[in-house]
Amino acid sequence: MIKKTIILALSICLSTLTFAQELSKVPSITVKQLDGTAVDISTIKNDGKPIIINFWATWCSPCKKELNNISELYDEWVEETGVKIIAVSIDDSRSSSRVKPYIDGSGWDFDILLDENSDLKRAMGVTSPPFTFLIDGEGNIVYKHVGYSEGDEDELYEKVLELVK
Amino acid sequence: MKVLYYFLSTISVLIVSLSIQAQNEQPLTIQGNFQIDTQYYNEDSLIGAAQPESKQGINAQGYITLSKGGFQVGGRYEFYGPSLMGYPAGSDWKGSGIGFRFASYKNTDMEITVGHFYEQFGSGMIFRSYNEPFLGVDNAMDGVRVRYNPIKGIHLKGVFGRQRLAFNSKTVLGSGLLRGGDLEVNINELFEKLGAKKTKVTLGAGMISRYQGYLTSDFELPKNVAAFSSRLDIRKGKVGLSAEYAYKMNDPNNTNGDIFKPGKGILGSMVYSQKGFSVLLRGKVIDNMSFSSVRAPSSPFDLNVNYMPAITKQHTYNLPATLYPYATAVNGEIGFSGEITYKFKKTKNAKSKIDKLLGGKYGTKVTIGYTHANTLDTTHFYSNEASLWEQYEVDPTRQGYSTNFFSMKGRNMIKDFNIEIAKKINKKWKGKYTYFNLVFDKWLVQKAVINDHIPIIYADIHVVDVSYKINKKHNVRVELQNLSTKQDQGDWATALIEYTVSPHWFATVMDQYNYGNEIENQKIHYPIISAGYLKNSTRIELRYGKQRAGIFCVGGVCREVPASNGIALSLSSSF
Repeated sequence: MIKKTIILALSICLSTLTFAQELSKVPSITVKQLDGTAVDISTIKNDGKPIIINFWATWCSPCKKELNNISELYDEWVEETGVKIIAVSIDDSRSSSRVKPYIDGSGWDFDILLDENSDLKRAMGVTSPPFTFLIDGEGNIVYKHVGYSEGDEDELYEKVLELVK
Repeated sequence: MKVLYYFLSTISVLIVSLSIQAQNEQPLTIQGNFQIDTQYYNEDSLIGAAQPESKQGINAQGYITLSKGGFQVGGRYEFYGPSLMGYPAGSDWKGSGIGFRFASYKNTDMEITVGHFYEQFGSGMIFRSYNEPFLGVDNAMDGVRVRYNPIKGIHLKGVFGRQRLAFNSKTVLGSGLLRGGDLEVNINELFEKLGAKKTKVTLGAGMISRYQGYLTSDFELPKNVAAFSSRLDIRKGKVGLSAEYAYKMNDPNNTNGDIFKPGKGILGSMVYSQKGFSVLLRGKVIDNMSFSSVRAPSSPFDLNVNYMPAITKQHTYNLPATLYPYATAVNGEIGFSGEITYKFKKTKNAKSKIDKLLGGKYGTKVTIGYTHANTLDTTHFYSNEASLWEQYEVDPTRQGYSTNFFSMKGRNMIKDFNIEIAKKINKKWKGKYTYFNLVFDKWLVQKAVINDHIPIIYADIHVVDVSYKINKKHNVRVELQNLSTKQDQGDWATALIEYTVSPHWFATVMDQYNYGNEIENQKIHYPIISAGYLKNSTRIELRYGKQRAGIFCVGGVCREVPASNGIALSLSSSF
């Protein structure tokens, strides 16, 4: 009897914990915008439409490849789904001054944030860049992806489409 | 048994109610990751790869944070059994246990953290505590941090604590105590009238002080050493300007020859940037700015209080990145760098061949960069052989040397010219060509870690990188690199083939070949084969082959990696 109760209690615990975990939100961490102003990333909204948060760096080749590929499709994506892409640079002070020239030189239209000492990277459990999060209209993290291979953007966009269906 | 029963039920009721409440209001969020890297080592005397007694090494870390509303607690468990060869960069990490733990609370204008934390003032010239797990650099603070925004536009930070030195089943802290504060003022946020102005101005100032008691030395040493910095950042549309000046009080230590000369540093950058065109200029002068939380760190990676960003570009191809990388010379350097990026626009109805070649359907991106860094122009007051009395006679205040601060007359350490042309030809083909011309005084830059004198290296590097998309999911990429030089180990070549199947699989075969080595039996191939599987946030990679001894860099910091021959497995996952 006692054993059963313990097992039951523990499983309730675990299930609620898992449930809570499924509701993972973007943590409240302050990062910088390109104009030097601070912003709490958890307050960024997109009118109930999905947000993609992508961690990248100017020294990370696959990251740049991914964002360059998405950049070509971005207009289309925005038109069809209203998705917003936030590209969070984890460049530290060695290379953070290279971020703006790089994005302009590449013609990106993403929102850019700087995470110079990796505070947000740590808080979101990012292992290594590139690392992508998909956030639904309520601010829940619904999908994550590490690394980039040519064609991965198709899978990401399918997930975006599922959200706006 | 009954006690246990009641205990468990109480706990579960608590957790359940907490979770239910959490779902109603602020949810309990659990985030974190795992990273495991293990390698089995073969002995390979030809490349200088040793087999440790344990024959294998493993690094494992798990990082977890729990947040609910403004509360957050977190920790990192670490296991080294033993650590991978050449890891970490500085003092040993060994055993298993909690290497990082903290609790913090945050409301709208204040955040308090107790335990371990990472923090940075400005660009880090006087203070940066950070973690670079792939390098094995971690100088986390253990203490207290407060961040406070009394009014909009004003950001205050205060830190107290000691830094992580090593790990021995728990964090081993350095003996020096750090106290510091930083103020950042965002003028446009502070004055409502200026909020809509196009010119954005941010000002900042910071201070950090080290206290280290129990000092024994031939000299009367300062127990408290402070460093100050001030900074400015102005942006208006396409133009940006930022500068930081740092000053460190007298800090005789084992990297500067126990001199009492103050340290100084200036870092500045200017950027002009618009869609398709940008120019970036950076300059830097650094004199006697090594700053550690102890006077005599046993490794240049231990207990660094500050971080001096290098202005050279971080190269990504392996020959330029790992054979001759450059990191800042913290005790004396003057340098500048420039980079121009231009994107030739798409041309739908190209008139000439050139237009079609550069424009076409996707345009062409060209980046040209140059970096130049010299040692400082200094005059030493005495030779290294002089006795203390002789030194005292010529230099009673023990300044060591005089510096001609903005003079470029010192010895050149690096000249790095590079040009990159990137072109997407059509939906299937993409190509990139990069040329590097390097002049590198390896001996001068790395004399702390190499013994033999090496003449100045002149190297030309060509890299061709071509990618072909077979279909929606399959892609193949080929990379060919050639480095030619008459110095050091002579010519090198690298060939790499990478095959990816989106979204789950990847495989690469790479060979580095030192074909120009003057010593016949050192003309060695270093083949590596690797394959991996990715799903969502999980990544598994298996690797087998030979790795040459070299320098491995992430961000601005480089460490030496010994040669190895063996099989390695990496697993990482995030949740």
